[in-house]
Amino acid sequence: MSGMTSYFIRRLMLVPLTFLAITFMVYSILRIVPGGPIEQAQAAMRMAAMGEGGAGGGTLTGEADLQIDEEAMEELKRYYALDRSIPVGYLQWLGLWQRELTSRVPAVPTDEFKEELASLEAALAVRREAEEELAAFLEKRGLVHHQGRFYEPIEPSDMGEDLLSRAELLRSRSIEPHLPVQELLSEYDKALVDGRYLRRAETDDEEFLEEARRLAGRLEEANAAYETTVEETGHDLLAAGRLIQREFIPLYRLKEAQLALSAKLQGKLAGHDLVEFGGRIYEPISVEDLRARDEDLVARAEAYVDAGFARRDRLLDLLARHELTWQDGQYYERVDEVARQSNAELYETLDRLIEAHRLATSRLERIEREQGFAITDALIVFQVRRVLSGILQFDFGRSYTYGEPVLELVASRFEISLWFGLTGFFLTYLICIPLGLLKAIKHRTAVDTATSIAVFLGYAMPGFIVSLILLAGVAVHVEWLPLGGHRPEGIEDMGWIEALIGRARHMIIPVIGYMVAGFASMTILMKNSLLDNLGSDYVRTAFAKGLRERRVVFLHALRNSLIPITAGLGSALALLFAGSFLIETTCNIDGMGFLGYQAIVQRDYPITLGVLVFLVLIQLFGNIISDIIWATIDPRIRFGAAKA
Amino acid sequence: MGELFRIGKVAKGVWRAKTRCRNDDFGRRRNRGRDWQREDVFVIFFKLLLVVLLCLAGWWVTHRALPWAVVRIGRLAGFRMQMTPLTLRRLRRFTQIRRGYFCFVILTTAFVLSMFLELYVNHRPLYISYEAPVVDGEQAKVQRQFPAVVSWLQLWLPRAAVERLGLSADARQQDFGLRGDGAVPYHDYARWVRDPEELEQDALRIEAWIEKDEDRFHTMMEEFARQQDAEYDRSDPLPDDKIAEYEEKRAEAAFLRRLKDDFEAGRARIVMPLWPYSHQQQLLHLPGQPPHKPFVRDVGQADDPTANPATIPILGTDYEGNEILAQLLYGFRISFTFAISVAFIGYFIGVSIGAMMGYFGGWFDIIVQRIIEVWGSIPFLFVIIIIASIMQPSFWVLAVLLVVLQAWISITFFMRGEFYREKARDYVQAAAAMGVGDAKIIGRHILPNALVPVVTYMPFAIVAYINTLVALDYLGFGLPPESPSWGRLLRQGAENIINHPHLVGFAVVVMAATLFCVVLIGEAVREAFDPRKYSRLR
Repeated sequence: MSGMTSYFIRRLMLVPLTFLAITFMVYSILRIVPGGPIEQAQAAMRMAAMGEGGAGGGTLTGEADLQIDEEAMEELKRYYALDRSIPVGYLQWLGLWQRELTSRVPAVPTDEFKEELASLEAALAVRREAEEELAAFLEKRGLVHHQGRFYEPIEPSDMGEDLLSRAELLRSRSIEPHLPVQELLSEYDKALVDGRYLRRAETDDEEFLEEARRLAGRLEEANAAYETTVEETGHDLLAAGRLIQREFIPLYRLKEAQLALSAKLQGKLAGHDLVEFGGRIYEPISVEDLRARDEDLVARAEAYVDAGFARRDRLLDLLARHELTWQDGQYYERVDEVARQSNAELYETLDRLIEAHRLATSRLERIEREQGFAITDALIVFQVRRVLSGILQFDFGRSYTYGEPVLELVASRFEISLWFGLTGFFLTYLICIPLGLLKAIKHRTAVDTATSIAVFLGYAMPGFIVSLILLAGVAVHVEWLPLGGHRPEGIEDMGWIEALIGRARHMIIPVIGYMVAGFASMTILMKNSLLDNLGSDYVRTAFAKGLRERRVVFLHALRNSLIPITAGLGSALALLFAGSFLIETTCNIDGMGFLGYQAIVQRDYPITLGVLVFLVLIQLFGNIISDIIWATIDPRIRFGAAKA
Repeated sequence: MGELFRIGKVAKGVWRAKTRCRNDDFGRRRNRGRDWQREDVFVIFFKLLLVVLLCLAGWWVTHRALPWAVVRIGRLAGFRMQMTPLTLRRLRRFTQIRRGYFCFVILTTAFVLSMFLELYVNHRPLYISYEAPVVDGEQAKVQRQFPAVVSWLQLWLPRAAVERLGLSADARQQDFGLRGDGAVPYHDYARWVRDPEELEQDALRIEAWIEKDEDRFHTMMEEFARQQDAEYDRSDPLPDDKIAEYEEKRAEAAFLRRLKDDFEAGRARIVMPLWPYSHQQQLLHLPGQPPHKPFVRDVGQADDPTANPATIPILGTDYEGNEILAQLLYGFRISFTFAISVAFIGYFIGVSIGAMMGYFGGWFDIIVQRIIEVWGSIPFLFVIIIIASIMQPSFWVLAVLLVVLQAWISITFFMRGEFYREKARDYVQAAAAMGVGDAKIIGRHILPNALVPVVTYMPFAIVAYINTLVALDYLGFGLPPESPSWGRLLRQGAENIINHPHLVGFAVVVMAATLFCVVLIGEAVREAFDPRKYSRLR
């Protein structure tokens, strides 16, 4: 028995290997070829844009939409791990590599926190009022309030060479409100507000000072009151009456700063018809100029442009190698030193803005990495978790088309397939065994020949075609037989007898189709094995003993002839499911095969892979179960020792 | 050879009879109201006779000429070409199983005949000629072309070779007295050749259409005017584009009348094949939308004064308007070629690998067994569909895919077993002792003795691959859309099973007949090569 055990252990060990080999092959095929979700989304978008352009007559809105949707597609790409290499993507799909899962942190429901909202708003209103009053008062003298002190603007040149350069250096390395710069400047009684350098105002007008101090004190009080309110309520107030949790306040502030910088940068760039990409500044260049410079490059780039969003990364990579970039159908060239010299001030500002923006972004990224919270441009907070989540964790991903988890979809469809498959399977056995028996006993008689024709026809015709003939020839003319579907409509409202009959009606034609698959081979197998046994010595002995024929056939020969038939159980089951999508497509049954077929047509890869997993597992375990059954019921079989 | 000569003579006679009877079959008979005429009976008789002759010729070629040629060529190449007594006995046993042998004869004949399908099932004529009228005493120029023959050649010769020969499968309209640059409308041409009066009829039909269309236009304008509460005068001039369109049509009618003289003078000749339709031709002139039911009644528009009540003797059309019988016949050829190619290539690979596994054994055997176990577990149909959904596979790509994913596997184990057994035999030991190389022992000594499983499983493999191709085409992931296929017919029928069951019906009948034949052959071969004599006591 040890040989057998080791044989089955070896078989079982091969299962994961086989599984990995097949799924990796199919995964790679699906990934390599075009037509994935990105292309689909893009095609849908193009259609929508065309429709809009036709209706509205404006192409500008279409362009803008395209711009927005590219971000959505980035998101899509990340979700389906399409931005990863194939092995990494495959491991993520398997669940052996961490994947990022983002879940939205729910916004604070304002209607639940009405009181907090009201008190925060009141405190804010008080503060704003105090602020405005103070600003208006100081405005009269051209002064500015900052950190409880009064300042007046000065020219940078008045700052002193040394201080200015140090301040500028710090400024370029920090973001608003430039705390290190403030720290430095405060030592020199200076400040930096809204990009302007300020100096402590000196005035002798006591009356004015008195009043200003009073107002500043009020503002401070209002500030403190607001802080306490935030402390008490545990929330902060965002624009448009939205509340945010206190722990996210720094995140919001950082994001707001980043957005402000970005807006400023974009405004500046747009004003000079420039673009920024990867921290570098580019100026537009016409295609003709570019072509004159490097025709081959332009041809390749244009090919990528035409290939759409999916090839955008390659396009940018290609162009970056030649100090170029591309945006919205326009090529850009990196601004060279000469141009920089000619407008040094502008480029310095731009560089500073870019640097500050990069800094803010990197800090946001650090927060995301360390604390697991990310925030979008729309100021929505997401929690980012890095988890192992693949098919090993029973996470098959989400369908592109249905938007539902694949496992649920496949499992629910699998149930339907199982119904049809198992019914057909058992009916096949119920018919084939008696038929094989009959044919063996009546070997070379008219009955045998007549049934042989049916058997050969069954062998020749695939099951789905038999179903198709039945649909075309019978169901069209017989009211009672439905043309498709796996159950009658409105089955929920039926009594159980009615429902059962309804289901049976729907099952007749597909089940016949299923039965055809195994019918012929099973019958012949039965017949031949019985004939073998009838010619064997022990049957001869039984006859010689004077037993009646009936007893010999049914008691002695039949039992042994059933062995090969039962042994085929597992692989027959596997075969059944492998071919099921033909019958399911023909009879319009919402089973697993049909789901897989539709998924392939619609390029729904998560479902395709999910169905594949099921098919492969059924096939693998079906074969093993067959062998086990065989070894169990037939003591003559020795798998391990068979090798001579 | 004498037999062939006789056939040639008979065929010639038939062609003559054909032209004498001016037979043709495009349904538009002049005498309305009478469906059957004596002339039609002649046509059908001659066509049936031709079919019989064709089958006889096919049988002769397949079962007399080809084997003879193969043996001769084999002997020239230095083979002995003599069967061993064992093989002879098996063959005799095979021929004794009547139903299997009968199917074998039918199927092989049909397959060989199908290689010449273009010559007798084609919308292109076998021969078309036109003698341009003499203008100003110029030399009379006669255009002659053999479009059907060229399209048959295109099947066998590479495209470049056909182009170099300057052959084109289609006759240009302007070379054959018509207007335009496209292919001659052969069916109309044949109709006109048969009866130049038809040209007049066609011209009348065009004029009738113009009148009707004008009337329809006026009615539409009236309706429109009524909706706008305005008056519409029927005598108002037509818009320019309408006038231009009618001018064009009138010019065409006038051209047809002019052409009548040409045709009456016998300047144009055409010989159509036996069944003048093909899978490449869309019968768009038929009334209504495709798919057409079998034996369409060409009733035309209800108010068409020239409507023709005759039926068109075709098996209907599919959704693209291609005639079904032609599709079925060409589909037979492509399915069979596909299945045989896949089976042969697959068996070649499988036999080689299995032979090496059995002969060498050891690690090679174990590793390849494991690979086969992994490979055999691939749900191959599913994977082929995935690949086919991405790239539109051609015939050979599909065949190779099927070979790689499936076809080589099953035979490998049988061959391994055979070689395992044969390896231990004395003759192999003797050969090895004499220093014969491994390759020669495998190929010359063991292989001929180990071919029984190959022969017995081949027919069933062919059934399986025909079914696979049909299934792929049925699912829409098979051969490119321009190639004829049974699966596509089935799919089109399945999509609208209530209205067009004939699409399913014809395809299923042909498919069932073919596959049934193959299965019977397989059964007979198995019986002949691997007889099981059951004895039982009672």
